[in-house]
Amino acid sequence: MNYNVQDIAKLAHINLSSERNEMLNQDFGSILDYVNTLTSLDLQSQTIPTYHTQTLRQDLALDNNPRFSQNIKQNIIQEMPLVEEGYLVVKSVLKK
Amino acid sequence: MLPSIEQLNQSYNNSSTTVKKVVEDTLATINSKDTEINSYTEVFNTEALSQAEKLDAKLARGEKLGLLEGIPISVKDAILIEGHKATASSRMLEDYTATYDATVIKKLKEAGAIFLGKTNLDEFAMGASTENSAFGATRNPADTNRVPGGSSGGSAASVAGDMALISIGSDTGGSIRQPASLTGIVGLKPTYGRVSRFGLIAMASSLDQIGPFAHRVIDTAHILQTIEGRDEMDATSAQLETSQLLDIESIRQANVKGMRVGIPKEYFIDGIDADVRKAIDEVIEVYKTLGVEFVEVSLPHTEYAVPTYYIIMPAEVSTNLARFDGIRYGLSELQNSQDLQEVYRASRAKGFGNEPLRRIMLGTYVLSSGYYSSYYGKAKQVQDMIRKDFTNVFAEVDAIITPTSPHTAFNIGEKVNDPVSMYLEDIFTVATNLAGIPGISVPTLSNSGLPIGFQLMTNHFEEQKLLTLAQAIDNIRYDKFNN
Repeated sequence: MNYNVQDIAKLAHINLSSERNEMLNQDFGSILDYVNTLTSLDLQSQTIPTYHTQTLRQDLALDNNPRFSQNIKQNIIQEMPLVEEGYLVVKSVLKK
Repeated sequence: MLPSIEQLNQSYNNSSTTVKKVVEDTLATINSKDTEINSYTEVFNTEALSQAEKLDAKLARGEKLGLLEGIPISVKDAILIEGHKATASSRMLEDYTATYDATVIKKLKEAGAIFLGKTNLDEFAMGASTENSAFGATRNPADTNRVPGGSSGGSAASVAGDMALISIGSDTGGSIRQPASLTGIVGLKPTYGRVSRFGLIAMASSLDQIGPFAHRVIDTAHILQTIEGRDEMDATSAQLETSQLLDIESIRQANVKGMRVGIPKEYFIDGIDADVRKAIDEVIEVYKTLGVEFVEVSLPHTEYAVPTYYIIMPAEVSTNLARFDGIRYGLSELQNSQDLQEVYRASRAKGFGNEPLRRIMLGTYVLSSGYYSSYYGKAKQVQDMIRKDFTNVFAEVDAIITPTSPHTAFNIGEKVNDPVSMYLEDIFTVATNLAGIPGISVPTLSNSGLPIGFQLMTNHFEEQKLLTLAQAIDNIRYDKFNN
């Protein structure tokens, strides 16, 4: 098992403190050892299922607002960390 | 113990009590007990009393209350109630207020239920002891040195401690059934798709299901009947066929004569506490006197269920929790960060506790390039084998019986530093979620020592059989301990 928790943290977009780095280095090995018990199974004849455990309808949803209260837009804006003139503020996506 | 839903409804309608008195008494119990138990993250005192007064006014006008009108309910704090905090017991959502009602909440509101508050859970429903909450551990009302199980431990403790008549929780790998077992109440995980997940903060979307806690089996049937059904807001919710609908009167009669129940040999293994084994054996003997036939069955891939679950679930956790990025809602380090990437990384580092961090990292790893087929692909293959095991067994029997947990409630702090040991708490419950079938935990007939539950499982959408079998023991237990 090759893993580097700092590389995984980069993929997961999380800063890791040295304490958490140490904790994860310790836990990852034991968790992966445990889930690796699946390697003892012969799965050559099994296909990877691409369906759910049940047959479920997958309808397209109508593009309307059947449920939400009138002030849903205002309520959502209130939850935003930083708003200017009704717009969500984010850091620059493109570098100058 | 609080009365059943039907008893309480009768008391309202024959004026032997008022809704306000019941709500006031329950709030007083919360006030006196919950400083120690810590089952609630928020209590809706004013709103609950105001609603109670409206219902009493309805009674004063000579109108009768519907079955769920005035029934005091607590709700796991991972389910949205518009205008109230929805924290998922995480610092990430500590200040987040829900902007809409979950479908189950909408249905319960329409039925007139009274919400008493939101209950504590393991952060983002990740855990089996309710010790992972950012707002402190919940304690088991049966022994406050012990855990109530998890992740819906606050919900279970609120009902077991008479701080709510009903609670609504969610179950991804056993999070309703295991805490129900450890606190001595009933917990029902319906078939995947039977209840809409719209408005439930997602943990693992292909496994999550909402369900009720109660003291009595028939109460879980009433709640299920109210919250189930197709919802246009959840594409995975099911349109129930007439044959799948509940017949409450038939459940109440609990005629189980001639039913066949399987005892899976893989679940009755070394490592089950002697007290648990004895209590399950006693339940089986009582069922036999009621005319139930038992046969040994085999679910050969049982030992692979927990490792399979701990690949599929973190994979889904890592994708579902990617939405918590410090941009749109929840904890944000936007103003303390130099660039967009740092907003993501700093917000997520500060907002997530250790268990969500472990699972996000594990999920990211098993889905990463080069490891996908070794882990996720393999786990999906084994999930299919587990589902087929159940299909084969349900061709022979109506239901399966197992312990819900191999032991009674463990001490607070006993397993918190050993993640694999904590993950094994789900050993008897995860296969149900992997197969998408319904399961229920019911207290055994033992009344000495700590609570012990037994689990019943049936095929998809066969909750009628599940609840009928459960009600048979519930009736005997109620007569044994309440007369």
